[in-house]
Amino acid sequence: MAENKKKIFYAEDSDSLVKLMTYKLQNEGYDIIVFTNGEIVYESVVAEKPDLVILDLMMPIKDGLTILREIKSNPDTSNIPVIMLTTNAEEDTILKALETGASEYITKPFSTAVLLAKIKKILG
Amino acid sequence: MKFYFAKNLALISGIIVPSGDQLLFIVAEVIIFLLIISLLLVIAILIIRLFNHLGDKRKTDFLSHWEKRFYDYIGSPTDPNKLLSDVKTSEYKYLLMVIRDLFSLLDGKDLDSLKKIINETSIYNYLLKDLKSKSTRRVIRAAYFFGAANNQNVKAILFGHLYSNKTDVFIYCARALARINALEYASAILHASRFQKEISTDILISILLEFKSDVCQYLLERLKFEDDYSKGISIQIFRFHGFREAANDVLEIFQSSTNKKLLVECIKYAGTVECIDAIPHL
Repeated sequence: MAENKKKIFYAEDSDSLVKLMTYKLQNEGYDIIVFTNGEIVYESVVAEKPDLVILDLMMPIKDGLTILREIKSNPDTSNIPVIMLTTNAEEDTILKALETGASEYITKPFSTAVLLAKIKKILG
Repeated sequence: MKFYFAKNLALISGIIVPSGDQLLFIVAEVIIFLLIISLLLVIAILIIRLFNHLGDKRKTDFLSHWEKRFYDYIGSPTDPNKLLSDVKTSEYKYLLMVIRDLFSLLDGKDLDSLKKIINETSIYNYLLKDLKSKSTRRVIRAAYFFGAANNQNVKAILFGHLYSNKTDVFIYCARALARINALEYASAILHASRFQKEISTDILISILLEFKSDVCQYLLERLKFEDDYSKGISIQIFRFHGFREAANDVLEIFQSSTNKKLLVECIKYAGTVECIDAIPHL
């Protein structure tokens, strides 16, 4: 039963948001693994190949855009969809993330229902 | 007793040269005194640590019991009073800790459910008491939540705090008024900021930018009555919002003022809103 669960990697440094989203995603039946900084996200993606990665743009140690580039430049992980999550709503940043290969770009503050709908749409 | 103490003090300070026995006695007294002080310090530290530990345990117990219900409530149409039905007043501070971060991260129905907790439950009276208190910490916490929850009922109390001699109180209350978009207090914020010694222009502008863009029309109507400093701030707000309707008034200031700082703000504004009429006067 557990093997059928879609695996989501969620890299976010806001503790309250991590707790809320983890609860909501688990309620939706997803298997969620949380990273509170960007240090080992890419290595973990390579090792475990999750179904979806949600990346906060601004994170300690390694930022979301760098991790996105690493994921998309590796042929083994480039097909994994990535949702970028950030407070920075500047056009250039959004374009940069989308051009690098992000499937979606969501700016904070956001609605958890909207994020869940986008996740469902991506994961089918 | 007093005599002995005075005598010992005189011995220690060297006024009277102590004999061997007296010296031993003084040394023993000093050691006992230091031991008592050390013991009291250790007891005080242990009591503080015990209180902190109990506080942390209470917080952890509360959150582990309450967090799941809270996450279910977020974004749902559930009555917030049901959520708080078995939460004690002494536990409100933990609840507010969780809500605080989420206010700046959530939107839509999620944000509405957070606002309801502040505006429609007993938390409202709890925070109202804080806002009326004399404690800086409590006032700024209440101001933050009322501002974030867009509570229109507390505008007058927030206004009362604008002339506080504590900069933090001014900043939080002014920001709360701006988040509530209480336009009628925009001028008051500008005016009250002059009495705050530690507030920078950047902070003041960041506060005024929390108002919605309709603050520009309000500031424009009062522009003629303001001094150069406030005019400069207002023009910066117009510039940030790209408010073209102020072009004629700004041009008038540009032609008549001799204040260099104000003239620079006029030029920046004219450039940002592409005010062609200003070009011949540059």
